Order: sequence, then structure tokens, then C-alpha cells
Amino acid sequence: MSDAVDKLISSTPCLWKGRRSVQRSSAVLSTGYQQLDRVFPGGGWPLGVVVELLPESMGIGELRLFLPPVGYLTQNQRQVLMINAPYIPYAPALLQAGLDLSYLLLLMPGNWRDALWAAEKALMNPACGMVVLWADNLLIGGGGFDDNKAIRRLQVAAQAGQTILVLYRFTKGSPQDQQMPWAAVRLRLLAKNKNLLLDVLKFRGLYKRFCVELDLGESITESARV
Amino acid sequence: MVSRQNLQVLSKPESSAWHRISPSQLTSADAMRPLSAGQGVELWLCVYLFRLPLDVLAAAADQPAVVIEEKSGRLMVISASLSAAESGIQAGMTLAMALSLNQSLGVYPRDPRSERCGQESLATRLSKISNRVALYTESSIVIEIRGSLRLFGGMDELLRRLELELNKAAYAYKIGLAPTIRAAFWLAQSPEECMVYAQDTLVSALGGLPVQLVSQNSKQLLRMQRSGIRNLADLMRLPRDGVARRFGTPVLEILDQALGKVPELVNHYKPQEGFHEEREFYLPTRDLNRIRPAVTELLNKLQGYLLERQAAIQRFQCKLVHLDRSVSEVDVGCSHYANRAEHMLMLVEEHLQRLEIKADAVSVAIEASRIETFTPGQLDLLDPLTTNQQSWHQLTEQFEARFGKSCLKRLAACSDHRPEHAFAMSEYCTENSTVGYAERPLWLLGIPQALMVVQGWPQWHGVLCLTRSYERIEQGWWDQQDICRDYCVAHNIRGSKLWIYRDRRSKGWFLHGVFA
Repeated sequence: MSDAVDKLISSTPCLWKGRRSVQRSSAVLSTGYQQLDRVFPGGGWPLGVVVELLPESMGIGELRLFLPPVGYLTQNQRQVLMINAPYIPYAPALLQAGLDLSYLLLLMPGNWRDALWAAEKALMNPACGMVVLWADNLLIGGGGFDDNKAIRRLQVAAQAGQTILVLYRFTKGSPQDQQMPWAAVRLRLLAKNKNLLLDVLKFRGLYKRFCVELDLGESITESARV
Repeated sequence: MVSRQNLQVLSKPESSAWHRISPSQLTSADAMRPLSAGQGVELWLCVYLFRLPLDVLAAAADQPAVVIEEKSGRLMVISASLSAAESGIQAGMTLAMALSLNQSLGVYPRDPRSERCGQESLATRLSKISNRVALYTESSIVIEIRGSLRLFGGMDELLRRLELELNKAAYAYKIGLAPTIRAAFWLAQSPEECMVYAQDTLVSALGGLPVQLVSQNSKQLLRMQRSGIRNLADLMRLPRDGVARRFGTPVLEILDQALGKVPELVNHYKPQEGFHEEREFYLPTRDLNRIRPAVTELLNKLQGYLLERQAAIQRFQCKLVHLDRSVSEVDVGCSHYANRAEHMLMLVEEHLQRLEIKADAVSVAIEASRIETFTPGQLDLLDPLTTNQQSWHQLTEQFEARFGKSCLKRLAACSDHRPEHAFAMSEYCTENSTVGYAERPLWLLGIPQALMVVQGWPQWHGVLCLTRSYERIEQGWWDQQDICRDYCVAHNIRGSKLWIYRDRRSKGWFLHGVFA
């Protein structure tokens, strides 16, 4: 029997094997913050997943959270695509954060369907490292589209390309109301004493909801120096 | 001016033997012997298409037919078919005379455009033999073959290849070969095929040709005939100053060009670059599923065309022609060179899906005017990075095709202290240049948002709490976009970190950035 189980475990990589085996098996991308690397399974953001972020309000550091991995990817000549950014990503600040701007591309498609199409194409591209997608204003206009199905497709695309999709949604109301079960990682972002509080609703490989308080400012300068 | 000695040389045709060989008699030894003597001297081959006006009309060769043109009010025969010639019809007759000789004559008007097309297509074919090809007159093509002899391994092989190309075109032709262009042209026109390889035999070879070649002027020709000058040898025997005085210097010049004393310049023919193919549908359609196979076929042809030339394109057009001859066109651009049908099809399809096809199309055409040489970069076998980046370029092209250029942007930083001028957003990658800044926000608002002020404090989702560090930016008086602002970082109750400023002229507060 144990032979059969071992065989099954080794042949199906998607099988959930508890926290330890996840740490060993899947590839991760360092978050750039030691505090987070310590608590996340595997020591960083897992590759090949959809990371759904639900910031409570704007300007609390929701983008700064992802700048170290973006900087790392662009400096290693991996392309990063930003779809439907709400404002102009400010080049001097991005340079300060250590990004190579020649590997950053902004796309402003007209509707949600086009945005999903572009995201899927990019996620499967071998040169791509990460796709960042802001969903809000497109979702409002693009009704009649099954979000869950879309996220599931993106999840499959991310897995195929071993890339990360970062999905920003500014929620109105509690996040439990808007179920997106196919996102492998779901975080609620809050501000707390000028720090960023990560409320981990879901994380592949973890089965408990928990919170992390993160001091963004100091960590960013640290990672920029490295 | 003209030396006697020079004329003595000219007037000794008997001393050097005629070199007259027909292609069938031509052996390799014969061909190579005179060639080795004058290395580096040009050798021109003239293809004279003596029946081109008739040949391009694709009229049946066994039918009596003539091509006519109006000359000074009279309809003249320009070209006659073989069976017409049998009944005595010749070029230069009037149409009335030709009809009186043969009533069942097919008469066609001349079509100079298709003549030119036929000549050019033949010249393109002959470009395979030599890179120096020129359209000499409207019915002859000259090519320089000395440079190609070695490539083809001798005269025999070259002539065989030439014959192969000429037979494909199916035009009646005659060949002349000489060290000068004009002599080759003259020899091609002469009744017997004649090939002259060396400069020193040229005088004797040309001597027997009629004097009509030198001049078109009938009065002048009449005067020559009255003086007993019938062929070129007669003309060459005369003193040069006498010839110049009696018949004009142009005659001398033409003669000198033929003998290689004066170089003759010709414009080299350059094959027209470009690709144009059209495919018609069996039934008019606007269904993309039926247009696609035709486009695929055309693009496969284009791929073959490009691969043959080791070329690539950056831009091509796909045209749908409708029943009323109106055209829907999509212009497809590639950021990198494209030469693969699969890739081009993907781009065309993005455009076609967006195109509103208003009427049924009867045919589809692919056109590419600028063909560029393409040297594929050396790919490292062990480095997948380059191929990856190439696939990313293709993806961005696809984005561009689907969303339009304005939807795709790249960022760069510029050295300007004014926040709205410190970055550039464009379709292309540009150089980054920065000046030292204090902390800058990640989001910049395109247009600063005016903030409400309550009891002297600016508000944004609650009252704002300002930090102490101010940054004054006062610049731009030189380009009418001067600013005069005090920037500072502010927090609101929800924990948002904002970049706001106070305009020192209007005294108003504005939100300009978000520390996201």
C-alpha cells in the first residue's frame, strides 16, 4: 500500500502534502521582506499562482509590498506587465525602488475581457515574470462575465508559465462577500500605525488565517541596498 | 584634331580575321581562347527581342497577325508573326498594304505597357546570370557576362543557362556578343548570329553591318548612300574630320562607342522589390473563417518569397476587395522583422477581427513594398533568454495589433524637477536620466486633484496630517509651464500616505501623488 501511496504522491505534484512538503516542492519568489519570508511557506510568494490583494484604502503601501519582487524580476530581464493601472506609475519612484524600466510595460485595454485576454497571454509567455492587474473600474463596466471562471483560467495560465498574477481589487464591504476561491493567495491589506497589516485570508499550503504587520519603509531601503 | 595614324588602324579590317561563330559551332575551346587574352575587359551580351510587341499580346504564333501603331497619321505595321511574314508582310509597311497581302490578318494595337512589363520580367530573370543588366532599348536587354563566366564555369554553361531563362519567357530573340554594348546590340540585330570576344576583332566584325545602324535620319542616310557608303566598313574607312563635317559628330560618337573608344553609360536595371499576391474567393464572403485560408496561403507564399531572398518585412498590407471594387485595408506593422507566416497570420488576424467588414469581399491581397535584408542574430544554444525576449516582442506586437498603439506604454525618467515633466510615457524604450529627488510617490495623478479645505486644513477622505518636511519646487518659467509649489507628504485617518502641494500663487491645496 505504501508503494502505491508513494507513487501517487510523486506522480501528482498538485496533491496537497501538508506544509513541509509544500516548502520543499514548489518554487517561490522572495518577497524582499525578511519578516514575510519567514512566515510564508517556502519563504516567499509561490510561483504559478494568482495573488489577490484587497486593500482597504489607497496609499497604504499596497504597491510597495510588491516592488522588491518586481525589481528583482526586471533586473533579471524578466518582463513585468501592468494592466489597467489606476494612475501613472511614477518613473522616478520606480527607479528609486530599483526597477529596470525597460522591462516594464503598461497596458490600458478598454474592457475587462481584453484585460483578461492580455493577462492570460502574458502569463504564458516564457519571458514574462509577473502580471499586475487592477480589476476595479473594468469590473464595473464589464458585467456579465464570470469572474470566478476568469480567475481560474488565469490561475491555469500562471501555473503553465510559472509566473505570478497580482490582482488588486479595492473592496467595498467585507472580503468574505466576494468569493474568489480560485486565487491561491488572498490577502486583505490594512493600514496600522503607518505600517501595513497583511490579513492572510488564504495561502496555498497554509490552513490558518493569520495577520502580519510589516514596516514597509525600512525593508524597502534594505532590499534596495541589496 | 584627328590623327591619320588612328584612321590607318581603323581602316585595316582585312588584316584581322572575322570572328563569326554561331552558338551551335561554339565549343568550349573556342570560347575560352579569346577570353583569356583580354582579361578585365567587359563583355556584353545583348538579347534582342525582335518580335516583342506581338509576343506580349500572346496571340497565336501560327496565325497571321500584326501589331500596328500610328506614325505620322498612318497606321504602320510594327511587328508581324511568322505566318504573316510568309505572305510577305514586314515591319514598316502600312496596314493597308499588309491587308492587301493577306485579308485574314489579325490586327492588334500596340501595348507599350505590357511590352515594358515583359521586358522587365525578362531582365529580372537575367539578373540571375549577371548583376549588371540594363534595358538598352525598348526591345533589347544587355548584360555584362565577363564577371559571370567563372561562376558558371565557361561560356558554354552560361549560354545554356541563358537559353533556359529565355525559353521560359517564350519571346522570340536574337543574341549578340561584343566587348561594347552598342556593338553587341548591333550584332544581335544582324541576320547572322555573331559573337565577338576581343576588342581587336571588333572593327572587322562590325564592318559588314549596314550603315543604317548609325543614324535614324533618313536625309543623312540618303546622303551616305549617294556617297557610296553602304556598310560600316565604308564609313570607318573615311577620314574622321570628313565624317564629322559631312554627317555630324553624333555619328562619330556612336561609332566610337561601338568600337570601345568612348565608354557608353547605361542605367543598370534593378528588379522591382515588393510582394503582391491576390487570391479570389469562389463566392463573395465576409466570413472570417473563409477569408483565413486564403490569407494563410498568401502568407505562406510571402514567407517563401522572403526566405528565398533572406529578407524580412516590417510592414505589410492586407486588402479585401469588395464587389464594387472598394477596398478595406489593414496595415500590419511589426516591431521586429517578420518573415514567418505563422507570426504574420497571428498579427493579421488581430486586425481582421477588429475590422468591420461592411460588404462581401471578392478577393484578398497581401502587399509588402519594403523588403529588407534580414540577418538573424546568432542564437546561443544554451541561452533561452534571447528566444524568450523574442517571443515577448511578438506578444507586444499582438497587443499593439489588438488594442492599438496608444494602449501600450513604456516608462522612462527624465531629468526635470517638475514632477509632471520628470517622466516620459511613450511607445518606445527611452533613456532614463534623473536628478536627485527626495522621496517620490509611486502613483502620480495626471491632473492634480484640488483638495477641499476645512478650517484651513486640506481634506482627502478625512482631514490630512502634514509632515514637517516641505519641498519647494519652483521652475519652468522658460516654457510657459512654470510651477511654484510647496510639496509635502500627508497622512489621512485611514493610513493613506499622500503627496500634496500648496500652489503658492492660488493658495490652493492639491493632491498630486499617492504612496501606494
